[in-house]
Amino acid sequence: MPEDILMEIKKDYVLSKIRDGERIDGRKFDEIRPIEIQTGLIAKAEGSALVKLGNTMVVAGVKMQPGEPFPDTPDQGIIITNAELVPLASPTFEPGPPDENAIELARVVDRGIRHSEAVDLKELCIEEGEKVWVIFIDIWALDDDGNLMDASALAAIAALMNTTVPAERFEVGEDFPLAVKDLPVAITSLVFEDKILVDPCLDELSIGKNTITITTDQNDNIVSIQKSGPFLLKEEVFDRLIDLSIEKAKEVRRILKNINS
Amino acid sequence: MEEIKLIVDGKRLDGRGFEELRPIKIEAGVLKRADGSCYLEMGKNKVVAAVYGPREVHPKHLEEPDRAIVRYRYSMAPFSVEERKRPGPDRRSIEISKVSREALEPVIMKELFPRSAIDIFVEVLQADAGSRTACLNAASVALVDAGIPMKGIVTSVAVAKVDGVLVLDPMKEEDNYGEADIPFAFLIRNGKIESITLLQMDGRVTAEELRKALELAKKGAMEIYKLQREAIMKKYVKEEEVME
Amino acid sequence: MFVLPGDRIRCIEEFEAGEGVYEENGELYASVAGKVVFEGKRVKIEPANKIPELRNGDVIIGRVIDVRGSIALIRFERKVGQERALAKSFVGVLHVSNVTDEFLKNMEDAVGFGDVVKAKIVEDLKLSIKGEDLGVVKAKCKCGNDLVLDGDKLKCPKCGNVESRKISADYGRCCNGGKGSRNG
Repeated sequence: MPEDILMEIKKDYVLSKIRDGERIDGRKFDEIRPIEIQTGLIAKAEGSALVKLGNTMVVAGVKMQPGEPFPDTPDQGIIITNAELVPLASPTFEPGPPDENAIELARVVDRGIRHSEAVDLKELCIEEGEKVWVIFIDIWALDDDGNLMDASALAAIAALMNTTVPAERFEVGEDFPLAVKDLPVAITSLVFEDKILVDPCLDELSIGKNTITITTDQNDNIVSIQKSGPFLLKEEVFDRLIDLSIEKAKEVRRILKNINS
Repeated sequence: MEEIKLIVDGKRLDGRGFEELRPIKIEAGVLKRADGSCYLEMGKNKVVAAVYGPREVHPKHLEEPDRAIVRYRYSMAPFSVEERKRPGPDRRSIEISKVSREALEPVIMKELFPRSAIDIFVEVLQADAGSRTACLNAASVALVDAGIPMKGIVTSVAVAKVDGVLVLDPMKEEDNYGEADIPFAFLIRNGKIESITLLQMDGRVTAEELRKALELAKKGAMEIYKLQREAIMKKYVKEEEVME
Repeated sequence: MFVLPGDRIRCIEEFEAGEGVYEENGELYASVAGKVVFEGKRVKIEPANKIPELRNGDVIIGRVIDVRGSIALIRFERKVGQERALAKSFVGVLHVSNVTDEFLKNMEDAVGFGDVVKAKIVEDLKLSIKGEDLGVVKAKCKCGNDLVLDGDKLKCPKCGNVESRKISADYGRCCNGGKGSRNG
């Protein structure tokens, strides 16, 4: 992906702001951009959600169909998470199969959902060893203004919360709402020297895409971590990130809890 | 599925204590054509790493005017696992390659070699749990063997949570049935852990456990670091004596 | 003393960081594996595995990529005596005045397109092939066969074509120094 030349120019400005203890959009260092979540917008999907995180915009769709279980988990449903950084979302995205960034995005979102046990896979067994529900979560980036990771994780869980299992269509019983048992929330922070910028916007990422994503469940357990970017992470910074991510996730989880009410 | 007990009488299934590494064997400079190389065994993992470069960048448009580019390719041989793996990169390998490259990049002095490439290739010949950590340890030795200037040495080890306890350097059963897997890599300089260069987590732990896991990983990394040093010394210090 | 990357180099006096040494927060550390060498006010590492670096006076092996009038362009491929590839390839210039001590009018009588030559770096990208062991070490005939030595000329064993070159004493048996034993 070629870098936008503007990113190079913005770098100095962003850095001078950070050194003055400010962020370019006036946010506090631990302030997340405004979040908007809209669910059920895709009627053809079993579940869907559009998430806006500031100007960053992502849509996630859930499709389900019966399939064969994995041999080592004959009584469990399957989750398959995929992300596409489609070229309409940024001048730097190119058409083609998912690159390492898209793959990383999908895998980190997947781990959050999987390890928080947001979906009880055992409830998705139709016939042990023969037939289980396969959940496809497809994350489609629409506008990349930084931190697609958190927006995608949010869109994925919001779409699952909105999902109806299409049992009737596949003649395996009556439709039922997918039970979501936990609300994993990913918090991504940009690390610059000993500074932590929660939910970095694209301009801020011009100083280096050095981020940590920490995903927590509703009991404040940590269910996924991903250091992304070529940088040295000080232990002291990591230590602060743990508590910060837990706190920030609580804020986001409150918004998530309110969407279906 | 029946419950698998991973800890019996305070010991792990392979007889190790909680804070014990698997046996490690490291040999530097095992390949003739590569500029630097390393063979490494960590438990049942058997991996080979090769470093080429700094050398010309192909394709040309990837060149950076002010530094070398670093490439890292983690690859698993089809016969390295129980069920044959289709050759070529899958999504897991692509992610591992990305985070591993990012673990080494900030340690390599890229600015000394503008417009060139440093290529790191690791092949997993036999996989057990923790192949990414084994590969990083091998890659790090291969980089030193290749004479690539670095701030220090990168050492990697994972910590897992199994049956409610934290264990160092998990093997396959612990990785498969454990509650969490946390691979780390560190920059070690002058015998001291300076910073974290790779960090991932898969599973479920509390904040307190995570902090403890870091301390345990640091202990394990220091032991591996000593073996990495020994492997390099063994190759070069002997050669030196012959020369003199 | 043999050190590894990241090892602190203890100095009683103040030393400057030389090759293979870097400074951070007032401390000196090795960046490569090798022996510590103190040189005047500098401390450097004699690397165990050296990345080739080109300096004036070095002899390189290169390929002729263009010949025009009094100039030939030569792409650097290796430093003589080292198997390791160069970090990046340079193109050097050979002027007709740097071929022999005698007068030579036409560069085409000294090197041909595609020839492999051994040349000395006179200054930066300026090359010279003056001297017995410098000059062409391998050349091909237009018909595709290797040219072989025939007195002070090169001859094609197949089509009989005879060409003149500034021939190196190593023609046909250059093995790039002492390390390898593969004769060309």
